[in-house]
Order: sequence, then structure tokens, then C-alpha cells
Amino acid sequence: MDVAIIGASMTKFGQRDAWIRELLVEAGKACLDDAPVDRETVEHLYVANMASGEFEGQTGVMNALAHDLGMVGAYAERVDQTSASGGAGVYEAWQSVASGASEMTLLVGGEKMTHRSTAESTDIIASITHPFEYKHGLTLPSFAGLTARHYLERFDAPRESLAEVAVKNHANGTRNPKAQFRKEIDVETALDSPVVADPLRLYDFCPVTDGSAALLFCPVEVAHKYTDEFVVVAGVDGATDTHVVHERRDPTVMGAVVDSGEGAFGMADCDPDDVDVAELHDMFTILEFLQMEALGFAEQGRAWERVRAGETAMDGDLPINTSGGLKSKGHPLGASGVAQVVELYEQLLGGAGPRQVPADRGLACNVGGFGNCVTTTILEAPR
Amino acid sequence: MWRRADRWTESRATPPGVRQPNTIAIVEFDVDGTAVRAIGGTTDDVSTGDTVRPVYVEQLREPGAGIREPDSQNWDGFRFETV
Repeated sequence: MDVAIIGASMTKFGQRDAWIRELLVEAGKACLDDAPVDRETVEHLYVANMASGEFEGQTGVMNALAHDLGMVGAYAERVDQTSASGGAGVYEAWQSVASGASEMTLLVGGEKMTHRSTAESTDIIASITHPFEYKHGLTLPSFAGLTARHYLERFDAPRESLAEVAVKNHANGTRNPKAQFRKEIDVETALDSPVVADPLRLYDFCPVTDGSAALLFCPVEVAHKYTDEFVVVAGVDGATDTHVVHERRDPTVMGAVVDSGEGAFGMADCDPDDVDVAELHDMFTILEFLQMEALGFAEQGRAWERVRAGETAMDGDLPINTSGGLKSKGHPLGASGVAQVVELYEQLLGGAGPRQVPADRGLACNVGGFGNCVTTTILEAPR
Repeated sequence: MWRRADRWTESRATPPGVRQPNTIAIVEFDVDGTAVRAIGGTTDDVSTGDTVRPVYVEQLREPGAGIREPDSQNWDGFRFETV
């Protein structure tokens, strides 16, 4: 069964006064307002969220949201796949409709983080690590530092190329009114910023963010009854890599990105060359290179050349992170994978405003941990 | 058996109970001709290609300072010291 997305929304990302329940309601209501359907038609409700219990002491957010949106009676489930919870939510929402279990499924992803200190947030996120890694104080930024040094040395890539990812995504973010950071930066600013995990500096990392995003799924034949304004989930897949990061044979190959990408491309019956726009999980600048290579957008060790040539800029052959990416738009963990698809939905329907690029097919890649859990989704405009 | 630092980073944004800065290295061991990797902190500055040796540490980070339940895992292990 072909699955459509007929509604999308996201809240303003950044430091918000709202708590998790309010953030989820804000995006959920806006999504239902965006779609021409009654909320009584929603049969399944999924909430993508990594750690509301750890961040805020609020568990059971799926039941809370069903209550708060007036959907009591609907099946409700929380989806946690760490930073890839949003992408996993997309996969589950697609499954719920494609299987015939639900004719209308609402997915809301969100996270409330900024009331915690950076150290506390880092520790909550690092709690996904293997016990051997955790006791050494390993964090996701430290994995990024280890990998970035290896990549730069092995492939003779200039340090500036990583800064150029940040510069590009910040420039894109200035065109997104819902982005956390809406200011341009230059390479010098990025290279002069404080060291976080050598050789990576502050502007190589996404911020801590509050926010929420939502999508509404239904069968394509049902979508036709309501509207012509919808997109189709052409391909979606998920995969895992080793829990212990240093066990991976090649640190520059994100195996779960490769596997989920191959699955999504196979289902959509298309190739990397057929993708017009992509949202990649740039939690760290190095991840944009690694995902480009794992998805077939560049050969191994060569992604940095495409970025330096401007091919991934808004006016390039393959615009990447037109939303500003996690780097500029922000990274509320459970919301990010949903917000990536919201951006593609807007791009494919011509509603991206000053960020609009020509696009009939888009790809989103959502990464949990340091590539531990990954989902890849391909959307197409209706033919 | 050689133990060569393969990758390293100096992390300055560390979570509660972790030393700051926290220098981490991935080290390759040669075990009967096969390269085996291990990860751990270092006792001093390290560069790619340096030979290191393991040094036992009773408590690698402060149990209970972070989110993980102190009794759920052990906290001792090895750091690497440049030879």
C-alpha cells in the first residue's frame, strides 16, 4: 500500500519556555490544522522522544498527548531510538499505514532540553554508550573528534572543509524562520571558535534545543479524497551498527547509513543521482561527509570536495540541509528526524519560501548515537 | 606486541564526574598478527602513531556523578601511557 503524508508542522526551535507536553501539543495541533481532516479520524498516534523522563521527569508522553489532543481511544506509542527517534517514528508511522492497521496516523516528535546544563545534556545523551565507553567519559562529541582527525589525515582533507559545512548550513538557516540560529558565520569564525573535541570546535557541533515537529500519514487513495497537496513515502528503511563504536572495521564508513540507504533506494527504485534535495544528520560537521559517502552521494574520502565546490549549497547540484540542518536549525533529539521530513514535505510541495529549491524527490537520513541506529526516508512529489 | 595510538582527541566538554580535559585514544594492538582495537583515556599527550602501554586506574570517572546507576557497571580499567 502506498503511503502519503498529508500534513506537516514544526514549532520554532530554540530555547523555549514550553515543556515537553506543550511542545508536542503545539506541533500536533498545527499539523492537524495543516491537514484537511478531523482529528477523530486519527487511529494511531506515535510520539518520537528520546528522554523526556531523564530530561524532565515526564514519562508516558504518548498517552499524555492523546489526552491533550482529544484523541483518547486512539492507539498511542512512544518511539525511542535516541537521536534517530524521529526517523524511527517515520518508519513506524509508515508501517502502521502500509500494513493496513491504521488509515490515519499522526507522528509527533519532540524534546525539551535547554533547562539542563550542557554537561547534564551531554551525559544524558552519552548514556546510550556501552558501559566500557561510558566509564571512560566518552561522549558523542569525542567520537566525532576521533573520527574527524582520522578522516582529515587519511584523506588529506583540509580542516577548512569541515568549517565550510557549518558555514553553508548557517547560511541556509538564515532563510528558515523556525531555526534556532539565524546568523551567517564565516570559515575564520568557525576555525577560531573554542575547541570542544580536538580537532573539532564549537561551530562543528549542533546546539542543545527545545522543539517539536509533526507529520500526518494515510494511504495514498485516502489522501486523494482530502487533497492534492501531499507527498508519497517512496522508500524507508532502518538499520543498526555496533554498540561499541571502535569495533567498526572502518571508522569512516557508517554501516547503518549504508544499509538503511540501500534499503530505501531499493524500495523507491531510484539511485543517489535521482535525489534532488537531502536532509542529513549534521549533529557534527564530520557526519555530513560520512553520510554523503555512505549514501552514495560521494566516493569514500571525497565528500569534502563536493562541499568545497559548492555542489551541496542551495544553488548546487545536490542541496543538503536547506533547512539549516541540525547545525543551525537545532537538534531537539526526538523532533529532528521528523523535522527533516517536514523540510522535504515543504520542498516537494513548493512551500519552502526563500529556501525553495527545484525538487521532485528528497532524502532524509536520521542518525542515532554515532551511527548506532539509522533510518533513511525517500519522499516523492505525487506524479 | 605493539600498541599504537590510531586516533585521538582531547575532549574539553566533559560530562559530570569526568576529568577535564579528557584525552581519549583508540589504540591498535597486534595479537598474533591481527590488529585489535581498544579505546581509553591517556595519561599524557599522545599523537597518532605513538607507542603506548596500559596503566591500571581504579576509578576512571566518579561513580554517581553522572546519570548512570553506580552499581550497574564497574568503573576501573586502563588508561594509555606514551612509551
